[in-house]
Amino acid sequence: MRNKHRHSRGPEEIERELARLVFKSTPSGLRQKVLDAASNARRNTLLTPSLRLAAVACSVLLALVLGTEPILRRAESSRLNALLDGRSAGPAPGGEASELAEVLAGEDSEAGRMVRLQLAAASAARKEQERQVTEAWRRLKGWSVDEASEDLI
Amino acid sequence: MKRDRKRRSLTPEELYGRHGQSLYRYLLFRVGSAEDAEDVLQEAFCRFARYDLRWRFIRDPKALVFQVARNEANRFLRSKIKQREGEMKIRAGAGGGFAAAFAVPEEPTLAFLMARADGLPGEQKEVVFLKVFDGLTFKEIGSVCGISANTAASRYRYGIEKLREALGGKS
Repeated sequence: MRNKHRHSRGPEEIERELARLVFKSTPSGLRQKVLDAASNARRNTLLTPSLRLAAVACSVLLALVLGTEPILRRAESSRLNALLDGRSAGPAPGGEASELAEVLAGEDSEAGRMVRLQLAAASAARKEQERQVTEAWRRLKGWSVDEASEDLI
Repeated sequence: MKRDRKRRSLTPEELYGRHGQSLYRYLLFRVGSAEDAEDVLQEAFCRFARYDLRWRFIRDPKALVFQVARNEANRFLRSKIKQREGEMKIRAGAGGGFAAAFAVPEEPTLAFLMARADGLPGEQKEVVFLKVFDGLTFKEIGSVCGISANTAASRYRYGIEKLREALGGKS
């Protein structure tokens, strides 16, 4: 009868029996030892968590800057191109006259014509300035070679 | 296990408060000696301290701490014993077992049960230990041991069944 009863032990009863086992005691001072080791390990890590976070944020920022720079440059150059109305920076000689003729004979609106005239005038003024600078450089060319240093005193 | 509502880093003190004792017992069960269990537990906590930020993204810290402790124990056994022998020991249920983790019971039936539990195959023994003494779910046991929850459940059933038969046969 008893055997039969024993034989019909269910898994729950086995679990209960097992749970009656008593663990060996934990050594004293284990907690302190473990926590000391953990804090040492923490101190010895290269970067603290906050520094690690800052490093990640900086890397992301750097990547963003590096990534957006070419895009911004492209946008700037396309804006300049639009301002120059598709013309190259240095038009061929005689270009101004043809441009003037084009503006005067064009079928643009009055405002458009004015804008184009202003642009042509600005371009001509810039060209004149450049010519003057180049002339001045040409005149100065060789000046420092021919002059001896004592002549300067 | 309930998930932590607030995802935040766990300090080593908190972790020790929650799992320190059970991890020590589990390690004692795995490696078989108190000194070795202490060493491995220290290693595991050093690892936890280095994880820090990772705790915020972990859904089940309990499973992870046991998994890390298990990996540390395996690493320890591999390095302490010769590689091949270590692997065999790990597969056979490590150097520990129930006798290493529990005091010898005075009651003969309990002593017999413990002896039979120690005689179980390593993988069944481990699952029984984690389920009965640490209250891990089969899913958690699966992630600790690197097996599926179904495998963990079937190992558990086989283990308990063997113990049940042994106890029935004894009396």
